[in-house]
Amino acid sequence: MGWLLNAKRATLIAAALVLTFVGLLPVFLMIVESFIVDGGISLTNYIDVFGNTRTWALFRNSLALAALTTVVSGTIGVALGILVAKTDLALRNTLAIVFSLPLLLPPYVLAIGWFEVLGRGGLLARLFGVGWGEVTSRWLFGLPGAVLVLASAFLPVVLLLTITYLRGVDPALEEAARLASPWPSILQRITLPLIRPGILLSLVLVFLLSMGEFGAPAFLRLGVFPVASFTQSSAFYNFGAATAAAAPFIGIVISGVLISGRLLRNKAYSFRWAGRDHAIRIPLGRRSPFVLFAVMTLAVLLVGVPLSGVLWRGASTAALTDAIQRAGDSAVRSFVYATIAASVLCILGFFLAYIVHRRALLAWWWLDGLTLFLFTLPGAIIGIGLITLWNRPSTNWIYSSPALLILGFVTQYAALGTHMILAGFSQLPLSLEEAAEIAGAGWFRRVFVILVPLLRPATLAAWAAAFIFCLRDLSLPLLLAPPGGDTLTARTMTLMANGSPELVAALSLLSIALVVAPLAVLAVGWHAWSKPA
Amino acid sequence: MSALEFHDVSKSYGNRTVLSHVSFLIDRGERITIQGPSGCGKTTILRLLAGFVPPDQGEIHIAGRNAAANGRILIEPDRRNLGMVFQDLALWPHLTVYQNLEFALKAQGLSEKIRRERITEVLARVRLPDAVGAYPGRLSGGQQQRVAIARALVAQPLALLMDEPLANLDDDLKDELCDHLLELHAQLGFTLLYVTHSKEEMRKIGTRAIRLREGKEVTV
Repeated sequence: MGWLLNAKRATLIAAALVLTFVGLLPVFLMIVESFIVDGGISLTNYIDVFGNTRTWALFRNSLALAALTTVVSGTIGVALGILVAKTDLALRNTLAIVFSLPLLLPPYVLAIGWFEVLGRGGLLARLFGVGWGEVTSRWLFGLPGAVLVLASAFLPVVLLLTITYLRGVDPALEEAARLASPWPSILQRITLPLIRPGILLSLVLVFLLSMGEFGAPAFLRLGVFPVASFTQSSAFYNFGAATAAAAPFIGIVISGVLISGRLLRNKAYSFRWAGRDHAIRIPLGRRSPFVLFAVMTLAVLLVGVPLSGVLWRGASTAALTDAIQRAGDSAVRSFVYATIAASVLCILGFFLAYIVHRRALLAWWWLDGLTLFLFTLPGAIIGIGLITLWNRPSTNWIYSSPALLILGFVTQYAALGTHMILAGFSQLPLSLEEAAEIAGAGWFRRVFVILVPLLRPATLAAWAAAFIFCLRDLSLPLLLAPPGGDTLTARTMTLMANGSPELVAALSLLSIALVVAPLAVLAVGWHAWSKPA
Repeated sequence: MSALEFHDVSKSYGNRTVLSHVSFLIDRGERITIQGPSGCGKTTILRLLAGFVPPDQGEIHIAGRNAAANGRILIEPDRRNLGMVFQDLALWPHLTVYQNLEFALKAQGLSEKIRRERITEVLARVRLPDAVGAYPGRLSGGQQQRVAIARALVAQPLALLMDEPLANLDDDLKDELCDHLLELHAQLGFTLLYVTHSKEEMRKIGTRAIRLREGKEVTV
């Protein structure tokens, strides 16, 4: 019994240490080394970076981009979330899937799609004349275009969190209000205030993700702050300056994590999973066709148009053959790396979720915050941190292998595995494990015979989410993939510089297929497997 | 004219028939208990009366008006002038006691002065005059129960629907709240429809009982 108790504690401490060592140590070391210049302590890196007016111009761009993206995706995402989760709108679940599609793709794919529509030689220019193309192209290559792309890319974050929180509201709280008031007032005074922490969390996430986004702004030639950090590391190999450039981000991300923690603390209220069938739905009545038309138009605009742009340019046999020839090996590597990383993330996420849910270690709150901190930290910063830690003669065998990229994925996306499995834990009564414990089952038996099977749906969802995010990541592969071992996103970014528009669009289609095909297989497999006999 | 009427009402959820051809009349000011085993449709009767779900068949009349018939809701819940105390109380956790009570009064468009007077009066009646600024989570189980009753009564409803409101309380508190509920009824004269498992509560509160058997038949 004593050994088993120790085994449990040892496993959980090991999981906590893995996250701390893999995730936090590189960032810490990177910051320390940024103060060391020529063997002595110096602020030179920081003075150089922050004394440069361009740094501040980039910072302003990033702030404006993040703020506008948050406002746009927040406004649309919350409204759509209410329509999907609270009304009887036709096709609501299908529409939610359509609006969530951009989350599966690297944001630069959307940027490429819009370029094919609004660019100088785009669809619009061909239809209405070159003058149109000039105007729309100027608009696209700048702040408005970047906001459009990132708002549609991150809108699913707000949409999905709003839906999740709305479905978690105890229906009795709304029914109690139904006896006294019509729906608009109930939404305004009961439902939305109850889910306010969730909405604010989604807005903080979108703000931080937009601040750290690199690929789409780079494609749209909007100078943003992550570019400064990335350029210092990958172009000048000046990791000290790169760290200095990343410092404001680290401050902003820590603030974001603290704000999120404060928002969610003591705000659990009385959430009770209502599920799809028990949620109370607002009848739209005669307005239903008009609302449906408006939502479908928005779906076409935000999702249909950019994807059609990519399809229009890239869906030819010649372009696709060229794309497969030039990046097929990268696509295979992307798939393998993402599969391995997602599996590691699920295993680590299970134990971290256990720690957080059961308050099994004193440092549970620290681990919870650390995963969120790492998730919202720009990939370029994590990449530089990992290079700083592992680029040494003794660890070169890791540094020069794909393992470094896998470590990067595990660091960046630990929050996904942890929090999605944590959601599964919160649906399980504690007594299920306690019953096994009192029946004499040891820790590992409880884990593998009771918890793992019951958490299968949550684990599978966590795996799928981690797989998608690893597959669509750009910053980490650009910095961490070994020579000759790049991913599809990194290869696409490289080929953007000198490849034809047809090739770039075909590569984007390859990216889409790479995400959608395995998920479709997974969904079909899960459906068949979980069907009752 | 009866306060609440069920005429040949049936209700199913999927393939499960919960109520089958149920009829009854409840006069104004009556205290009725609904009793029966778990899953027999007790709560469904309250939900049909409140207008949360429509009857598949039959008609429901409230104060002489046809409120729902044959799969359609004709009067929305907020137009039925009913108060309800839920089994889990459903107090809004983000609103203070005052705001919980004020919600229904605001919907009625009453002035702030009248709202304040009504809330002060009803809180005094449930013996919680000092709880106005407290959030529900800060109150004891018994105090929350009183707030839920006050919230249901503050809009001066035609009838008060109570869904096993004392199920989770200890015996002493149950007795105290039962006595208090009877006092309130004597003072205000509302119609009371009270769902319970407990024979003791049924004897104490009801002047008449609706007994459901196997969820399909009814005796009044």
